[in-house]
Amino acid sequence: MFTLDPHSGVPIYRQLLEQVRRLVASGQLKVGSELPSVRDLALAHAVNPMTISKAYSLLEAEGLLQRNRGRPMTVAARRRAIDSQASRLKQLAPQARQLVLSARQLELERKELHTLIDRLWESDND
Amino acid sequence: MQLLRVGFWMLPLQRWLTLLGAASLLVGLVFHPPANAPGSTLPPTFLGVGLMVMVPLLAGGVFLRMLSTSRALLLRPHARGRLLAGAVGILLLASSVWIFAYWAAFQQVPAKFRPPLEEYSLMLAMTLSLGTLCAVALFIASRSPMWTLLIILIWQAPGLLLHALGVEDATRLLGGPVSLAMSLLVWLVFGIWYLRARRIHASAWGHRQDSTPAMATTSVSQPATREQAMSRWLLANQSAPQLGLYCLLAALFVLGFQWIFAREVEAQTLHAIMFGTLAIVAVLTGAVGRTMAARSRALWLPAGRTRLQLYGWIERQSLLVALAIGVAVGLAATLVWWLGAPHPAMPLGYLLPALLAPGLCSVWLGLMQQHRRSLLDVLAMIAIAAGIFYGVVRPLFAGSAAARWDVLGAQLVLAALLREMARLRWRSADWRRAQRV
Amino acid sequence: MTDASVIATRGLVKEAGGRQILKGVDLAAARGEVVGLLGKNGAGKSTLLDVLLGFALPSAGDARVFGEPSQNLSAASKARIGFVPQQDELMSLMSGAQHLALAASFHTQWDHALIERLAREWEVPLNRRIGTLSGGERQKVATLLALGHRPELLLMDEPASGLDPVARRQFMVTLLEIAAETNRTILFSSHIVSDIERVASHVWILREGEIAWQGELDQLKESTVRLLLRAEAEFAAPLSLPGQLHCELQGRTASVVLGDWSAERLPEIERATASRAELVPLTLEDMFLAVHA
Repeated sequence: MFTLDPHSGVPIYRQLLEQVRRLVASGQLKVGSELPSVRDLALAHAVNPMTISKAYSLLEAEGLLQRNRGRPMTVAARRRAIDSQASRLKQLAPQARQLVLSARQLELERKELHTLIDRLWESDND
Repeated sequence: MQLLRVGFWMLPLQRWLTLLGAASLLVGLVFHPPANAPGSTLPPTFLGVGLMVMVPLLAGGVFLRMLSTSRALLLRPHARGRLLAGAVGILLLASSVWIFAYWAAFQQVPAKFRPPLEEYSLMLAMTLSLGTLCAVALFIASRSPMWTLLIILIWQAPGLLLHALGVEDATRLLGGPVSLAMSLLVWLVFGIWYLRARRIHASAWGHRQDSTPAMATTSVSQPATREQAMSRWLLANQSAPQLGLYCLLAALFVLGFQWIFAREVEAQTLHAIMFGTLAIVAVLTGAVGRTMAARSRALWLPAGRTRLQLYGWIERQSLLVALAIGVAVGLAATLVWWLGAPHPAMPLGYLLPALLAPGLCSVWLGLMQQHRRSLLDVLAMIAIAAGIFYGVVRPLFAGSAAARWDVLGAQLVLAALLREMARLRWRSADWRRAQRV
Repeated sequence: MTDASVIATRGLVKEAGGRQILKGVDLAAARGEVVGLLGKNGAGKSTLLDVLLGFALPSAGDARVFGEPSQNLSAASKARIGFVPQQDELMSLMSGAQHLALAASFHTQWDHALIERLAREWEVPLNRRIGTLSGGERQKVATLLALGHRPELLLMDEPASGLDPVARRQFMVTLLEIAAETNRTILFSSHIVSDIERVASHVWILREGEIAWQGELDQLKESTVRLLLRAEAEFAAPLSLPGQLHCELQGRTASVVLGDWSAERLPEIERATASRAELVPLTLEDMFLAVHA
């Protein structure tokens, strides 16, 4: 479900944070679906369980996840208001920035970039 | 508990001895050999137990050092205390077993021949003292060759001193309460040092085995022919005459020591001791052979020869060193023979070969140590020791003039046998990678 | 240095052979942390471990484990510590099983089930003499010896250096299992940076006997970044931005490694250097190299 890269410059917990946020925002993780336990996830990826539990705790504090006694964590039912478009866009901002920069390096026009994005969006919908 | 196992079972050597000893013990117990005259023949029970306890009693110090060097082991709670307690415990156990065997051996004998009870306690005390001395001495000696030399010197001092002081029956003294108290003191002092020492050093004896193949020809200061470079590597930058000289000096040192302290001793005893020492020095060739065998792995690539050729070449080098050591021993022996007044009854013409023959055997025994050791090595060692004892020490002690040519002959045969064994091993088995102890 | 810290040093100095190996080191590790000790060869990692365990005496300063001075650890503390040395100090004449039995006899509690399970998983031959085992197998035996009494503090000197990738992964997983239960503390020194990235929660970087960085790994990653700067004109002089660790110039581009990073600094840096900045991912290894540049 998640891809965690211990070697990237982004700390592991943050990678997990962003991935969970994205999956929930996109609806792939529906309300009430269970997340793997800290221990299972840690062992599967061979990373420190403390970092997983840190991410989970932060997500719980955000209201995204809900802790259930004796059972794995589940996605909480959220209020729509938290997840405004602005905040979702803000999540995407760093990657968008990179994209724009790379395009500039390649000396592409803005229009060409738009075309590329449209094409990818279409193909993903299939 | 575990230390017991270490004490008795660990090395293959130990296992063989323990098994042999146990077998002998069983034979003795089961068959009750007739024992009408307690005398020069050792009943099998006695022999058996002797074999079993020999190693832990005498060599315990070495094991103690080996166990004490591991840092991880020392981090365990009460590590040193337990190791020390284990060592003392094994000593006590071995001594008790020995005394028990002594007692049991005499049970076969009718009552009037049996020694009185106090003799047993005397023997116990003696064994304990001896064991203590061996343990501590070997512990110290295993630190490095330098320390070993020191210990050899110190070891001789009391015995010879006592003789010089005119004390007749040293064994009585050793068995008395005095020596028991001394042993206790020794353990106390040693124990305190042992428990408080920051770091116990690993034995430096086995440590000449480093195998860095490329180094053989490049690290020499003056580039020489390949042969010279190889022999320099083998001998760790020393030459054969140099080693001979060292041996000569060491031997003279030890002998001189003995000479000074043993003026009053009966000539025969003195001769026995001194020549015995020389024979042991000759056996050092075995150590040289072993070192060469161990370092030879690194030469395989640069040497460019077949195995047998390489073996032949190394054998020649070893014999060269053995010759140097032999010359040293011969010189020392001649010196002792001339200066020893009165001359020993034994002719020098016999004595010299008798001293050198064990050395010759040891060379090949050392070269054989290339590969896995087996019972054969143990037997060979025992044979060489017997050769020294029966060929040199005993006759001198008895003051006889009869040269034991038979013993000499047997040793030469043994040497030839060992040579063949060494060649066989070199040809067929894998080279052992250099290991730390 | 609070009471909760498992390991603590203050101003630790260690001299040997005429030179200073550790020059005033202040460290602390709390319970439950997994600390990776990074440093070049010769930086003093092994020496630090030696001093912490009481094998070597500090020339100046203080080192404490479980609140007790390292030179005189009580037997109770020793029972709570496990140590895996770099060069295995096993006796080649004994077998692995014999070593384990010997070690077990020193402790009142020994988890035989755990050792058996691990020996099976790691495929460690316990019945052969140590002298006949390969280097990696010996390291595994040494590790087993340190785990049997379930220590609360595990110190390891380059524990996985002789292991192949499969064995390393197994080792890491086991380590994580151990760390996960009841707040055990682990300190291991390594120069295999990727292992530390996976497993460690905290990192201590030792450079030439001094601490170059100490703290949580996540924080280190977040506060240290590499920026690729692209300017219109060539960079004339080497840059010196606040918190800069490393800078490479090549014509119109510059690669800068910065510590103390936060996202707000981006616009001001772009302004200061008249360039466009791009964030490039930085692995721990890159950071390590940057710190040593």
